[in-house]
Amino acid sequence: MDPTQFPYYPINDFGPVMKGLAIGGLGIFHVFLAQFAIGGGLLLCLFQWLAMTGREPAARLFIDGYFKFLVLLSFVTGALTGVGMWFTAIQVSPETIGLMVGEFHWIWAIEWTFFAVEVIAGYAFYRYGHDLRDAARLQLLAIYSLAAWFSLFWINGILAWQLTPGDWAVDGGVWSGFFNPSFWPSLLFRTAASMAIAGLVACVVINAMGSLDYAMRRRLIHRAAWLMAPMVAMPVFGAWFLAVIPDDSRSWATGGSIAMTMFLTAAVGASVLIGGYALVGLLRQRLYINGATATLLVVLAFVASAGGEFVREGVRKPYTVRGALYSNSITPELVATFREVGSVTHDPYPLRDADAYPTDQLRLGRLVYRRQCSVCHSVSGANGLTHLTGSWTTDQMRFNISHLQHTKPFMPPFAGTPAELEALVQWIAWENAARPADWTDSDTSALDARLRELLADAGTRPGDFERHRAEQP
Amino acid sequence: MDTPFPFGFPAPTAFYLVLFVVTLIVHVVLMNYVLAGTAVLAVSGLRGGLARPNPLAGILGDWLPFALSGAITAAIAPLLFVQILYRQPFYTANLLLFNRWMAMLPVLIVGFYLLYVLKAPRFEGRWPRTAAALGAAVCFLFAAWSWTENSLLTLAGDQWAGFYQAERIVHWEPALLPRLGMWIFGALPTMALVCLLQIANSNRGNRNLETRYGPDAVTGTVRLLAWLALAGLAAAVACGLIYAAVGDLAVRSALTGPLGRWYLLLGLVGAAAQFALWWGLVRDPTPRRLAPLTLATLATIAGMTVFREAVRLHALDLQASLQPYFDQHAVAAGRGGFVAFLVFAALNVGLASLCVWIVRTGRRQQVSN
Ligand code: HEM
Repeated sequence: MDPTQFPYYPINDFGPVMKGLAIGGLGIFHVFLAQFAIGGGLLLCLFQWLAMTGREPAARLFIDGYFKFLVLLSFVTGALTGVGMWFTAIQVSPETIGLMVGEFHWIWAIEWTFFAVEVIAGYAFYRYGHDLRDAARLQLLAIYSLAAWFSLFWINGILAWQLTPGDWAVDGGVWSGFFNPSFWPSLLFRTAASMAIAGLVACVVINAMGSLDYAMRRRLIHRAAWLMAPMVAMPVFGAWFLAVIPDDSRSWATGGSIAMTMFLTAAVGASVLIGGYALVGLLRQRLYINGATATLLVVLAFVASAGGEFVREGVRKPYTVRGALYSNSITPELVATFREVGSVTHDPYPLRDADAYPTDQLRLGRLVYRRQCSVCHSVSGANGLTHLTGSWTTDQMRFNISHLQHTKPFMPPFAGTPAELEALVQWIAWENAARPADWTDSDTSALDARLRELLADAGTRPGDFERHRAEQP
Repeated sequence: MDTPFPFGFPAPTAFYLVLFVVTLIVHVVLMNYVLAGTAVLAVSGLRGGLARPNPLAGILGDWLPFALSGAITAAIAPLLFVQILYRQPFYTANLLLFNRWMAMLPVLIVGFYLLYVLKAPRFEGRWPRTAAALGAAVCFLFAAWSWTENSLLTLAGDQWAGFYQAERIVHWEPALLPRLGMWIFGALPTMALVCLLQIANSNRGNRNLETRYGPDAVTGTVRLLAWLALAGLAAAVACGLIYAAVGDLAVRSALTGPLGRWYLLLGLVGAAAQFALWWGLVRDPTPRRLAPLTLATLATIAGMTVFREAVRLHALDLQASLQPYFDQHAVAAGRGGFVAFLVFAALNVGLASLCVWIVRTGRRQQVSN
């Protein structure tokens, strides 16, 4: 690629927040609400059927209460957080979302048609449901659930592709990318999670409904608990997912990265607690669950979703689209080019705080940080560079940053000239020294040969996870 | 640039342009209803109009939440196509506006819930309703302003670096207010038309507005709608004239060049026809001539939406060659999935129609009949 054609975008400073946290944070809300909507549809179909077949007369009362809740929460906030995900993705990595839209716009368009049906069926039920015959109610609910689940089906393919692009990497075909190795396990996992969330929220709503007596509540809760039964299969789907993702990604979540491992542990721990309570307590021993406990379990489900989303976002590293785009939006092919021409040479966006740096070299270093590091590292906040490099000498920094992909294989290779490498090192050293007003630039030309040697030794290819593992004590 | 839109562009570009414009029109119709509907309710509330039930407040209060859901859902398709058509400028404008841009989402969530407050029996009474309507109107005006600002910033490539460096979060240029004014005032006739169609429809059904509010109230509402539409049209035309006067070379090129000229004409002819038809309704306020009024309104919206695109295409063409855009569109068009889209789109049109059919035929009374 001609480096002058590289699409430079203005990069915003998220302060002490990691950009990944921003998208992960919103993602949790959105995924939780979307899953609630999907499982909610299935639950309502079940309850409508129970009501109309006379198996559970109180189910009818519940449906209207629950549906209002579903519409108010998931239609409104769910739809807008969905748009929010898109906008946040643009803020974090326009190149990634651009690639996704370019490759999969027809899949997204299909998903949109299902979402439109979900809204139409949902509103039709919300507005006219109470006037309709039972069969008509069930039909509307069935269309609603089908559309909601298919929205998941389509979006799941695109998200799974980011981590496991499968044959797309070879033939570039949309369907090869869509039905990728992690498509089915993540679809099944998310379906089971959706049902569990809907069942748990139902327990909260049932407890909150003053119009139901204790016996009714008890019966309804045991009916709703059936939606949590598929949780039995979640460990299988989870293991399947872990088995098909790349070795390095799996290793980050299972000990290779402390943060990822913690998130995975939180997700698994919370799921085990919910699953245990649901399967043993509610389904086997037919215990009653009060509003407070049900709310606690919903909170735990939220924790599980949060952990899962962070793992999903995190284990892709060093890529946002595996093999095609690094987290910092530089493509693997461009690394060698940027080593020659520089990663910020053609960047049209100046620094906002250029006066804050005493020398040009520091300014260059800050620009390189903005371009190559800022998507995952803040300066001294979350995953802050000053914390991570505080104990390194300048020469260690030269080595570790030139060998970024070997230092930790979840980082991409350094993609800049020797002068950019040195500028970055000096800027970090200056930040580590608490930004002194006086600073003397290092002599890049004297260091040139050494820096070139370091970069050549590191190579331009991504890190070798096996090599890294072998070198660990 | 020397052939009417979308002819003269390479096939993939023309294809995505048409899809974008068609889907944007759907968004515009629903968005107009929401924007003008909440503004009318807010003004009516301030003037004491929400103290008692009335047909217009009843219709709008009832339908605004669904219309907003529809406006947002419909907006997702053009949001997809705009990213294919103008990826770099669109993303850049989003990034430059940053928090100010992202603020639109929580603001819309607040607006959405306020529409439910407006509807809820619990918040009966003049002031709670007026406050909710005012709050919602402000939220949607903020969204409209954000989109107009973003669209204009998309085209101001020469200002991006300076905008970024100065950490600005608001983009201002003389064309902003008249362009926004066109949207805001132009929303009134669409809202008036949709309400008129709803009145006509309810007169046919069993939820007759006349029995609920009395015939005078309904006639009064039709006349009010006609006046609102006329005022909106006049103000939008005035804003359009200012926009043309202060507009840059791209606006002037679109006004005079073949790419957008005929569409502008279509929009103006539609506006003139609307004017005549609404004037007829002022004089005789019974819902009639609905088909020509609908056609005229759609002609105006379609004409102006394409004209808006012509301005953008001229602006980008004046900045640099459009060839890189054409190349990107060709790459996107080479991606698979279109046939599957057509199949599922047809299936889902069927499912959506089925929902309507279920509601129409599934009423409980019909069983006992
Ligand atoms: C009630 C809320 C909204 C209002 C009042 C509104 C208003 C507008 C207006 C006035 C424009 C035209 C701007 C101009 O050309 O000057 C516009 C364009 C657009 N809107 Fe909306 N909008 C709303 C919500 C949304 C949402 C939530 C989305 C996304 C899901 C959206 C997607 C779009 C798109 C894609 C365009 C075309 C942008 C372009 O061509 O650059 N709108 N909207």
